[in-house]
Amino acid sequence: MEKAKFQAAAAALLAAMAGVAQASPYNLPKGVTELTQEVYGLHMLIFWIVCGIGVVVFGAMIYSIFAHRKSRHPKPADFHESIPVEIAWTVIPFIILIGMAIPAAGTLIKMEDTENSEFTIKVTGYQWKWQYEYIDQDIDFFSTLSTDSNEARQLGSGVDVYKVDNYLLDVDKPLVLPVGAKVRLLLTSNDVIHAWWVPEVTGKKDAIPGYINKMWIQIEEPGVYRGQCAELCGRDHGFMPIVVEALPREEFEAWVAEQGGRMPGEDAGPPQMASAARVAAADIGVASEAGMSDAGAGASEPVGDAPAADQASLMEQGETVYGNYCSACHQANGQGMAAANFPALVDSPIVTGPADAQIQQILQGKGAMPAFGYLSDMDIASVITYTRNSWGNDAGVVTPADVAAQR
Amino acid sequence: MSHAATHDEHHDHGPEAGIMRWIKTTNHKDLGTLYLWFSMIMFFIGGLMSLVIRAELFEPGLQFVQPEFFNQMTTMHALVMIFGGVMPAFVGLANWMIPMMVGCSDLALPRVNNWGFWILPFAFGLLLSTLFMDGGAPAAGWTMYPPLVLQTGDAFPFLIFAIHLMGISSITGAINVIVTILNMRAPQMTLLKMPLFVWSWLITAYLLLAVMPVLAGAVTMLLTDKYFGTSFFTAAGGGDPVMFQHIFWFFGHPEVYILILPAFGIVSTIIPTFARKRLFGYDSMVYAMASIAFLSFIVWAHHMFTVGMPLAAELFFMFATMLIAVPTGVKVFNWIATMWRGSMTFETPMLFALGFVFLFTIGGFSGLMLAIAPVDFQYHDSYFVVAHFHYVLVPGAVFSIIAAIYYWIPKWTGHMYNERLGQIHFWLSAIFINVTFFPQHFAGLAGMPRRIPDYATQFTDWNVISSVGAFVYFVVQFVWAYNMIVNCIMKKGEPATSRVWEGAHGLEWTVPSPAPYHTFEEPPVLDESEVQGAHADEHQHEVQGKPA
Amino acid sequence: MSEQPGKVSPHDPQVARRNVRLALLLGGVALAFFVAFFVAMA
Repeated sequence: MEKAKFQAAAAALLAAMAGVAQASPYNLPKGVTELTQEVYGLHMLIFWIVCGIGVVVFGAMIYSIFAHRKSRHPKPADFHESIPVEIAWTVIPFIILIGMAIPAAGTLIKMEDTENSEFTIKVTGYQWKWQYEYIDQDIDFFSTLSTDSNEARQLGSGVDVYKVDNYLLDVDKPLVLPVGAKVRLLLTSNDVIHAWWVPEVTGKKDAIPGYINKMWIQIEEPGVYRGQCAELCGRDHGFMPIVVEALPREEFEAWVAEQGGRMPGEDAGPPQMASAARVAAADIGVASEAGMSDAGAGASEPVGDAPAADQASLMEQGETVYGNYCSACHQANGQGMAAANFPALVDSPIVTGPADAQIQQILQGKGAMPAFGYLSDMDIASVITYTRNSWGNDAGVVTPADVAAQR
Repeated sequence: MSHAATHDEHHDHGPEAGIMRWIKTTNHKDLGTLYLWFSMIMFFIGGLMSLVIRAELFEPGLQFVQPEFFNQMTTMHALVMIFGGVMPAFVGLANWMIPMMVGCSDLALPRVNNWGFWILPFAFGLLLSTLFMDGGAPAAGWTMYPPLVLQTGDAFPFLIFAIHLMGISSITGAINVIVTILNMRAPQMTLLKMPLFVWSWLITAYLLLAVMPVLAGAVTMLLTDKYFGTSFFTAAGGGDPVMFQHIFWFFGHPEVYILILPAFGIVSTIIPTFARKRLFGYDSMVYAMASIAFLSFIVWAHHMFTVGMPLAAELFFMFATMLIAVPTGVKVFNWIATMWRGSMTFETPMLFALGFVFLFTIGGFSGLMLAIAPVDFQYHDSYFVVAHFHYVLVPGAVFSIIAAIYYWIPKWTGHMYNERLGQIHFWLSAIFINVTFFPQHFAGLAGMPRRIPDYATQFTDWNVISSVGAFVYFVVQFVWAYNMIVNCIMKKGEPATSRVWEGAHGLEWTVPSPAPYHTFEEPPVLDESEVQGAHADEHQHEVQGKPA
Repeated sequence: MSEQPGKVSPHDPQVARRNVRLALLLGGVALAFFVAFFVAMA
């Protein structure tokens, strides 16, 4: 019976192989890089070897169960050891293993060779999002779960997740890469251990605080490839997807130019660029269709430390920031989740008390709440203003200058 | 049983009445019973947790629990099943069977045995109480990787202390087993005449002794990192989070074999009985187990291929891991050779033992695939891994425990279980365990990571099948509980003979069923026909089981 | 390999002494692992 299941599974895998190569629901994807295709080949090689061994072993067992049952074979034989046989079934598996080890070692060596890469991107894991810094292009942004997915995935949201495009595998802003370039990724983390995994592009590698891990990818086909964090990183581990968009080189260069063109040359640190990048992304339509609707609203907002920080625009931008960074715990209605120890913001002494304390807590974090110091002054000011003037709270406006003063 | 006069002081010949019997007992049979009951309760508690997991994963979107609670369930399910279910079950079997198999009257250190058991309810009381605390139970996975585990709330010190207690319990149990086997064997019971179950436990006990202190050390360092300002594992303070993983898996990989070696021993005992033929390659079975135990100390980093080790380390751990397939293969081949040209019948213990060989082998195949480091980068932390280790643990370790209980419970209680119910239990278990875990291979290959409470819609089909399988499998286990409790424990079943099984050999079958409260007060004379291994014929010639 | 204790009750004082000696040795080894490991890490 188990045997039958096994064969059914093998048949299913075979069918999958014959069918479309990409995003098979049964099997590893072949992927779009030389390495993933080589890994796929290794995977299938080992799979068929294992199936072969399975046929022999299970075949022998099933034959024995059939032929050597008491009703057919009433008198048991009396052999119970044989040195040559033992040697044979020690040595033969050993030889098979060597046959598997040689190609595996070859692929492994190739994977670790990160030399001669065209450029480098630093990937930093956060609870629960990714930051991409294009070291050579001077581009830097965060990538979080798209708003649609984020709303749909709340307990009791009532949203039909089948109607959400790429549910849980969509971000506000994907990692954009040129086709055909060998890109080196440096992986690290700001808090706990995460792992970066996009099956069609690369196997996974951990992002570990205090460590920089290296890997390289060279995508051969334009397209959008999706993956997610693969190392348990706390509550929202299941909600920090990775989207890679591979563009032909000219389009990638145009994308970089757009990003760079909007970069404020002055004291603009990474966070301001993040806003700029989001704006630019909306302009050229790179960002994911679904996720952008909200973030795109930011396009009309003042970017960076622009002085026009009146309450209405702060509120509008604050709502977006709140949705991206806060609502997972404190909830969209500001009620928090008592069961999980996430405090309500409605009538909270911190939110309705002196602003400096709230700014400090957002910059530094507190207990289970991570530090958000990497957000721009504008983002922090807007989200504080939003929390201080929503859900019946009425505690005044905080400006980017107030935040800057607290840093 | 009439030798009481020669033992004038210590004990009378029956158990004390009432609850104090169980609290004060130093009798290996009583303690074995306690361990097995404890383990059964933990299996059902851990099973309920897995049902919460499978219910939430039945379809995409969050329907029942918050992600944080989901993470608590995956963490607690693993801790309860490993430390509360499988390990105490094997210790319970060791308690019951090792003295009866080597021919002594009790374990070497009966009082230590009592303490070792009674630590456990407290350890798990502490652990389970965290479910009701502020911030909930531990949610960082049973592997407790820092820095994440350091974000645990009030539950944290309880988790650490509970693990210390479990460790102490395991170490005392291991010492007791080793001393019993080395010091207390009956005359003529040389090491190579011992039943393989005893051998498997001797090796397991050494593994426990070597690695439980390492786990205790690792979790103590977590404790000081959290509360006493050290930074063993925090990068900000100059520590190294990856070091924890090395230490943890230096414990964790031998732990995997702690969970499976006694299963090998059980299967090596049951298959010869029902094949009516002596175990093939007894010596090579012992050497294979010893090699597996040795290799288990040098393969730990295959659990962490993705942390970014130097190439040379990755190659070493890949090759060493693949090597484990050799002795494991030898064991499977020996079992098949034992069946070969035997005269098999398929009572429930045999069915579970054969189910073990089939399904454990499938788990071994996926294990071999996982050993290939470059491909592991794809498999790692996906549902493929979940499928793999559940194949070796559920139809592996757990099936062997069930097989052992069916096999020996007539000896313990003096009454047979209902064979028909046993067969139903086997077939439903074997079918639905595959329904539960086989689809997880596909979900993993298609890209579903483990430990996520919600998933992208393309993984739905596999998860629906898996959830249905899990619920049916859980319900089916009540058939087993009913069969054991009503027919054997409440003695509604047929009375058992002292031999119980036609092809059974071993000292435990020479005492009446049910086994008297005290057995082998005087050392038995070992009749060579009771010796399983090849070494029986060093003394005697005609030992073969007489076919009916 | 062929050492034959001959006495098999833990209540026999002679057996008990041997048992306790071996148990203490094994327990000592476990404790030594723990301490040595901790010292090495610290």
